[in-house]
Amino acid sequence: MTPAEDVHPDDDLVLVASGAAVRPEVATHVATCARCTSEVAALRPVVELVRGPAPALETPSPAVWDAVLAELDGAPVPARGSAPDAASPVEDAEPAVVRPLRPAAGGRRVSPWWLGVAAAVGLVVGGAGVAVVGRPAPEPSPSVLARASLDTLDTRQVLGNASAVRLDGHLDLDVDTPRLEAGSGYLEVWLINRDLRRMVSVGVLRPGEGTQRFAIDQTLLDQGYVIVDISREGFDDRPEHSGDSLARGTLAL
Amino acid sequence: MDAEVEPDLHDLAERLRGGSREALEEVWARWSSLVYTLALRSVGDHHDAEDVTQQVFVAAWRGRHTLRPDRGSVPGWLVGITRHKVADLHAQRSRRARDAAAATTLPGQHAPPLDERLAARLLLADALDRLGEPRASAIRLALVDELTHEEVAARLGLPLGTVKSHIRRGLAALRRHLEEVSDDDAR
Repeated sequence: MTPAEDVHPDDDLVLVASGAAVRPEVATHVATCARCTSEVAALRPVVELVRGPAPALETPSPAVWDAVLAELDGAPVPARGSAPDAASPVEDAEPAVVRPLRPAAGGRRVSPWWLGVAAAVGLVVGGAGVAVVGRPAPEPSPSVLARASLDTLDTRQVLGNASAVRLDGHLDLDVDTPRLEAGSGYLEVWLINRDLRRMVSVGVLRPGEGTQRFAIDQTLLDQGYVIVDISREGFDDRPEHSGDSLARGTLAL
Repeated sequence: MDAEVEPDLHDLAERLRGGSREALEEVWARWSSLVYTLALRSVGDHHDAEDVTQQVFVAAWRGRHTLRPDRGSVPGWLVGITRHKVADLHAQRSRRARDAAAATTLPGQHAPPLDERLAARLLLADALDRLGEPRASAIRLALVDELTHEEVAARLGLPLGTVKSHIRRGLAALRRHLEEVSDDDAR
């Protein structure tokens, strides 16, 4: 039995939801009316939240707004009209954001990890003089200083190997990863420091072309750049590591 | 969205959809703290929270045509985007931890998801502030101070019926804001 619409005690439902005293006829009505019972149930969490402590708001640095503007002004105009009629605003929002995890060029802000990478690329490549040559192997009788098996990071599947070799007083890194594919991007070889905060790019690896040799420097190894990492990079004008590591191994010196 | 209750919010959403940078700046001024606070409590690090906040507003601008003023409010929409960006960050952290595990130890830590309870409280506090007077005061007096409706009416110098109406309609507006969040959870 549902009471008539015009007798629903709508103004008193808040009282019921908040546990306040109400007239007996209101209590009786709510107890026997599915609609009002449902309304009270829906109001209850609202009442609880209103009664709860107001959360303390924290304000972001004004630099964040500057970074938003810089990213918007420095980035290409986003594609309009992708799924404008779909139901979910958030799902719709995603396709328009080309690289959600990596801020765009221009006024981008970089996290400490990437900052470390950027610094290492800038300082070490510039300062210690790593030549990115990728010239073809081999030359006679190199002495192998250290080897590394290159594995997938999660399943430990062996995907190749790397060696630090000395030849005619120069130090090279030989990389052989017959099973890696570049997909729509390209493969890049990195030396990551033991501190896992710094890394240098050693060069671009051509998939499926056998052992490739990259010039490195003894200073790098001495400074702890002993983790060989192969990443898949996109053609996106971003010099830093994409975060997409395909294989990695540590040179056992 | 109840355009009658919050015409300015509806107008702001329409202007943002229409591509107004001024509207985006207004959205920033009004809700960047909400987004940042939510991000901070969900990712635990000021720097990452600022990154998430930046990404949310960039995504909001680029996805502005997906904002439906008739279906949800701007802050609810922003919370939905924040949820995605926080999830992205957690995924990125997991991958980074996994990468690092190749040279050090295995990770094993799982970051907490978006703090949904906080999201609801933030949205509610925001919506309560926007209800305007005397509606917000009527609700606070009735629910927080637990005055009877008669006492609220006397305190505000308003007729009892008016006070009851303010409380009922105000609560209905707040409820809609929370349901936007719940709807988003379901996806």
